[in-house]
Amino acid sequence: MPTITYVGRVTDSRKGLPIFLDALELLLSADLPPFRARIVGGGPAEAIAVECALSRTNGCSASLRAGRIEVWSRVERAALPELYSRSTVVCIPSLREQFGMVAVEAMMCGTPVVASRTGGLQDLILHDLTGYLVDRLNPVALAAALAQFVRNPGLTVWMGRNALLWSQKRFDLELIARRYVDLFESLGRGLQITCDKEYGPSQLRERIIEADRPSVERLLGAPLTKWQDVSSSPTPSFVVRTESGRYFVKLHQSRPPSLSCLAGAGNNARHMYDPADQIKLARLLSSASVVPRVISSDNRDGILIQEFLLDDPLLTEEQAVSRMLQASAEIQSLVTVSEPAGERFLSVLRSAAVANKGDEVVALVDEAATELSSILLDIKPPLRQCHPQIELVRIENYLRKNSWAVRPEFAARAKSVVRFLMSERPLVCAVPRLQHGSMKREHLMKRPNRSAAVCDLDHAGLYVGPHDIAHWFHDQHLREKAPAPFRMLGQIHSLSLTDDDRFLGAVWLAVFPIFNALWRFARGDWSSPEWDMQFLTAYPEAFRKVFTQSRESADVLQCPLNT
Amino acid sequence: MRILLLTLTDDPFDPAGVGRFGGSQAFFFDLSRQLVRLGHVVTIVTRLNDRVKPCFQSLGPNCCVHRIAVGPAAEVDHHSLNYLHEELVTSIRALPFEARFDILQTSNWLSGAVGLALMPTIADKHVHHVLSLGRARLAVGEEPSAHDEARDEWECRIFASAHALVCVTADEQRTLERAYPDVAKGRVTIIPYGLDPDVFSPRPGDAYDYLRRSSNGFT
Repeated sequence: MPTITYVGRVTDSRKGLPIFLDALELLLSADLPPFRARIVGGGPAEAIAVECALSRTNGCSASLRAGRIEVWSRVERAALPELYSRSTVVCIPSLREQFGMVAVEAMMCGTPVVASRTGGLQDLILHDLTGYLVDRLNPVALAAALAQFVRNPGLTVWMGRNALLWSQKRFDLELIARRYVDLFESLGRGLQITCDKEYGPSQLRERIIEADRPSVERLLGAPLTKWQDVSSSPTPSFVVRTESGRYFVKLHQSRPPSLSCLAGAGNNARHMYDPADQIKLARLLSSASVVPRVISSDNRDGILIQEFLLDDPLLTEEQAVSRMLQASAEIQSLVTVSEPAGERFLSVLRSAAVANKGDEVVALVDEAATELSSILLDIKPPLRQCHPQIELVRIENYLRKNSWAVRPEFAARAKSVVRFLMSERPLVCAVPRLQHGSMKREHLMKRPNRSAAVCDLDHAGLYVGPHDIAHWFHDQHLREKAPAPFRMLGQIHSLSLTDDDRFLGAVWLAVFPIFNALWRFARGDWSSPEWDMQFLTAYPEAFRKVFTQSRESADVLQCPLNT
Repeated sequence: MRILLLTLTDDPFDPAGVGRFGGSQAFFFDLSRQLVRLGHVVTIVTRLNDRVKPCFQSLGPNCCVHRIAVGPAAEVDHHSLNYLHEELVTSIRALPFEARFDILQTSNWLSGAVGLALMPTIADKHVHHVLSLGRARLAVGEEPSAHDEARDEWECRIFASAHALVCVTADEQRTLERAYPDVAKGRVTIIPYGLDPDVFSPRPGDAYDYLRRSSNGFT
């Protein structure tokens, strides 16, 4: 059973136990699999005081009686590793923390941590990699982040491994003592004091490649002389150099996809990225000239070595769009959805169109999309965004069941946009196409011989509608000061070839910011999604304008790219 | 090297997790142990906060602890102990140390303030472990106390005089430099707390534990 553990002084208000108890009450009333909570710390009298506080709340008192909340009082320090190792996640809801020893203790035992974004905790925990940092004094954000671990046991495995790698050497007592000795000796000799460099995700990735270095060298048949961290996603990525040249190395890990944050109870453990599938897909896609060539790979260790590509920063906006469209078209041409498999998918969509229960609809289509991927691509992707209208249903389900975990003003706006789009058209029954999945400017690269290439195919898969085009403009406009949905919709409209595609592209465009905001909330980031709110507020009007204009002119809306 | 560790507000031998005792004094206990392992001589001086504790303990040839009986032999709000400053200094000067120390390491402002009075006669160099900052405490809205003014005055003097200031995280360093802009940046360093990986390491999971218990006849 997933276990959330709090370790710390229980009567020290700075440790934030009341915030943890509030979060616990929320979690106990949420749509989650059964879990256990453990409170460790304080003397026997203090533990009784905690039990009394728990028994005053309805949800907690029943769980306390049922043994699902355990109050342990203080345990010997030597016994703590046993408790950490048996925890799914350790919670540190401190209001102020100079360091956060509990975080280091837990990480050294391979357990991820959810903690307040305050003081030293911000330097100890790598947000999204070894745990989550949530807004201080916010029990809802804390509960939302803890819920991720209750829903996804796989998250503990992945983040726990990262936590162990990150903390093992950095906080090794013997190495720390030696640094004190070095400091004392420097002072004795009158030398300048050196200051520790800032530590962050790149140090974790350094450890990851160090661990995999022998396998990478075996695959390349040469020792590595240098490497550079170029990761832009949770998957560690490097440009490595050997005597014979430069290569791009990706170290795929088994981890839950970000979409799993929107999965409900019981929808969990099997949803993990499979490194072997990621590599298989990279190999399949590499038959497109625009996709990087695979030099070597190791499915078991998740190591993928591809040809080295260069950035291509000199493309104009129009050239970049044209390059993106060409790349997307070439990837699409790799797979044709054959008759029986496509027909089976369409029949599932037709059933989904008349099904009543949102949960069933999403599960049906997720399953059909996985089956189609299995037939066409020989991979079984985990939870996957495949059809934008089904994503609207997924979002609606999530908001209905987890409204507590979303800022109310955002939930209201998102619901309104979802309802608007759902009422616009019935479910479009169309077969998906193989697409890049994360099309953006940075992914347009070139080879040393100047031929075009597109990198980062981690999200490649089968999508209904022009996902690549919608993702491109969504990403382009994220960088602007104010959202401009009319312009974004107009551009998608002008580049999509069919009426269904124009509509589906528009739906994707609404899905991305909603999903991104929900993902942030689910990881305890409660900051106001100003940009997303503005975008979603202006979206329905922009949608109507674009689609009305196009109907009136009976032509594709002409909206210049650079307006 | 001969190291004097002055930790007047926290007895490193008090168990973490009870009352106000947390990870930091557990670390100073571990650090002393490691320094001894590395061949250095460590003397710990703390305040007697419980009558049943011995005033002196030899912990082997290279380590000992002195608990000076100044103020009530009980756990009290350590920020209120400033009035004992002179008495603490006098008591430490009276301790029978074998020789002068190479390093005086202090933690928390009260230990730092006492350390300032002991320098330079007691040790060659003074290293101060920041261990919470008065101005930062007030900046995050914690309740002001009657001791804030004295603390601030002492902290400014310590930060100006110590040969090195140790912060445990980059955040603490940034806070120190922001709240006390006169601090000489060249004297600030970051050394995080450390843990013994032989103690803090992943334990076998539930399945293994079940087999182990079964094989030993437990259910």
